[in-house]
Amino acid sequence: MMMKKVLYAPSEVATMIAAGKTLILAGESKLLKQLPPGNWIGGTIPYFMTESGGTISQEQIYVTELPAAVTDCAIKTYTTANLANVYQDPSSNGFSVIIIPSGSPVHVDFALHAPGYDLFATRPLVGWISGTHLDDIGRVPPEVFCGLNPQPLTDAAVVMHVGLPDNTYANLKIVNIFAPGTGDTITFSASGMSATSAMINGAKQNFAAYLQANNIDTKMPLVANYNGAMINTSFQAVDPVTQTVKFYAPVFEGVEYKLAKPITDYVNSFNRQLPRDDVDAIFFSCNCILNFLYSDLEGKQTGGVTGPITFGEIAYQLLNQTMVYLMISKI
Amino acid sequence: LKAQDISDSNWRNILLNGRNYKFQFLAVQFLLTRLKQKLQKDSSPSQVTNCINEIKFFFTKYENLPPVQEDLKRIMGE
Repeated sequence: MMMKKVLYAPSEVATMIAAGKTLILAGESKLLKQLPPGNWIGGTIPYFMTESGGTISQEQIYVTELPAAVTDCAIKTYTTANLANVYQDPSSNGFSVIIIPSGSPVHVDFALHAPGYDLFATRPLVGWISGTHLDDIGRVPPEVFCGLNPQPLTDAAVVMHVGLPDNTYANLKIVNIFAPGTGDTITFSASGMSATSAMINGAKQNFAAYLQANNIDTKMPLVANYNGAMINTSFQAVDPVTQTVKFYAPVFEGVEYKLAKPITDYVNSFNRQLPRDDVDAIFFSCNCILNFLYSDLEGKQTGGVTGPITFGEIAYQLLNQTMVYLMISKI
Repeated sequence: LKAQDISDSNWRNILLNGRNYKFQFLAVQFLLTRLKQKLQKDSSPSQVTNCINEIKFFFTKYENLPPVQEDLKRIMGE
């Protein structure tokens, strides 16, 4: 596969925007703020998988340019008041790209309720949760940008609805190196981003105490089988005082979870699962900051697939510790 | 293959009886999970009909896509 350049200086990106290109951008706030109005959306993050491997850059912007085959494109912002319409708004064949600021009300709304939105999963929705440098968590707010009026937004999602010709289609896929282990079956009595209790093989227990008593490595996610798709929920924190377990994505009532099997070699595990065919058809990809951190991906390549490293991945709904990619193929 | 060739009783079996097909299309996997969760809470006849209509609508809309054709083959046992 021909490796293409993906990181650019703000001045180079400004030139692309002025030339009328339609772009999806990822970079530090100070860089995105320099860009002129145009057909672009962006989100804040300084971590990337690039052609030369995992990279941290606070001086360059990751650029994804829409392919020439695109027939139309509409950029829109959503708040909690209208985010539930995100699957209904576009009518044409195509896909939508969404960026949501981490920790915002729209993030929580999407995390908890996206599977219940009208027309859920009836159109590919790919995207990511914007973040900050890890040293800036809690001090610098994650932001998104709507290029039509490029002001930083901390309380809205930005979406690019993209149309494709009828002889092509967008296929949204994931790479998840985690698989459910063979241990206890874990369920929750309510959906949420945190839990105090869980049903362990049908018996109610304090979940934090269960994790501590069983010396569970919380770098490994919970994994659920969604009719063949393995979907993770990552642990954020276990509060020993309140005995509450916090997650980076919701656990859902009625879903059976297992703790993931341990992974010893992330990069090899990942590369084994990467698509072998049509890699050039990958239009957009992103991977999780937890994979970047726990697997020490800085400087390492992941099969030539590039994209922002994010605070959450979106493939129809919010995912964790997963690589998401969108391919555009001929029917 | 056409989604309309699958009977409502077949859709009902997919949604209510735990047969696990190895579906390929991610949207199918998510949608089925959501519909099964819905039916766990409420399996009244009207809810079952709503869920059958929803999955039929999806497969009919995308039946010309190669991965959806693969999933239709799985349902039809080919």
